[in-house]
Amino acid sequence: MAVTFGRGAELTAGRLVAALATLVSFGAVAPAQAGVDRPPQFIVMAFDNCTELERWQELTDFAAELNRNGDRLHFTFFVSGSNFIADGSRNIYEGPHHRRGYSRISFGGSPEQIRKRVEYANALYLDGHEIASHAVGHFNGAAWSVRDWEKEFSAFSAVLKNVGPNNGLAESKFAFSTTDVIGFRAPYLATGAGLYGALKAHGFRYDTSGVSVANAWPEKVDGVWRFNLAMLKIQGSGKGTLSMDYNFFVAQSRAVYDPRRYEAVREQTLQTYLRYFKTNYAGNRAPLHIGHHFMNYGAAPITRRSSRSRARSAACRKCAA
Amino acid sequence: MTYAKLADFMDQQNAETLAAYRKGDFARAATPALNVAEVLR
Repeated sequence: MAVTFGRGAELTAGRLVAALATLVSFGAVAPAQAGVDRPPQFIVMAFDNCTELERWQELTDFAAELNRNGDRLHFTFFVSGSNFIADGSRNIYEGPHHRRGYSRISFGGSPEQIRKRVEYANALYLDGHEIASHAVGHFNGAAWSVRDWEKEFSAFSAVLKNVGPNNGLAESKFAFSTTDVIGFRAPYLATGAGLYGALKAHGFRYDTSGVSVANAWPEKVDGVWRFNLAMLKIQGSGKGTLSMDYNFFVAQSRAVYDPRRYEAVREQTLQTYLRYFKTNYAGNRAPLHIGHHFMNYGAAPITRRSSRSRARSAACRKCAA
Repeated sequence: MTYAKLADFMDQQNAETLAAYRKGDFARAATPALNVAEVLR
């Protein structure tokens, strides 16, 4: 059964995760028979990028619906700094090794759109959700040095601090400070020694850009937790994927939406996530990591995307890496 | 839950506990008899 929200966007996988979270809350910290107490089964779901205001509204509604009977479920939003810079203010940003005023994804549109985006982020934050960093210009920084990443992180902090003055919005500011942003996911999951050399120095406590087997407990490396996406086998196909929506889309459909296969790929996706849950739940209880986007890859609404969405989708092709 | 909360939880565990988690050295739960239709209901 598809669960439809807002303007027809289907967040079926998110619904599945939410339902699983409800179920596991009854089984957390059960009495021990050996070793230590059984740990809770954590399920962490995050959304990357944040351009379209309609998607902010859908996700806001989605979170509110899931919590209508109590404040239980919270998400992490990895936001792109470029979405908080109005098109007319784009020259305040210069990404490492790129020209001033250029981003790999869209800037934020009009000042009014920025204002609304800030309001959405603030409302979610105040409802207990987390705002984390997806850098600013959505560049592939795999080869960047520590200094390059420090420049990008400083630019992200400046975007947050100065969102009002940068965009001519006297009343706009974030409800959280830059020190409240403690998590990172690299665009394209493109990591390198430079990134890991810069994360801790810039105050990050965790990174979600890596990949692990599905039952891996997180490791802390050089003072930063590595919360890695999981390598999964797609049920019904045997193909490999990461626990990320775009990677399913590539593995199942070669990143081309085919309405004839919609039901089949949705069923595969749900079965894959359910198996991921069951295996870890009855196994070593390693946390589940679900990485999705402000996008419905492979779902029906993909045919109604804006031109900006299509541009961003093209920019995200390498997310499968 | 958020990743920030997971980081808080992880920081509260000592090395021995984390080692036990990695090995699954605790009373295992039974595999839940769930299917997609039930979970989404």
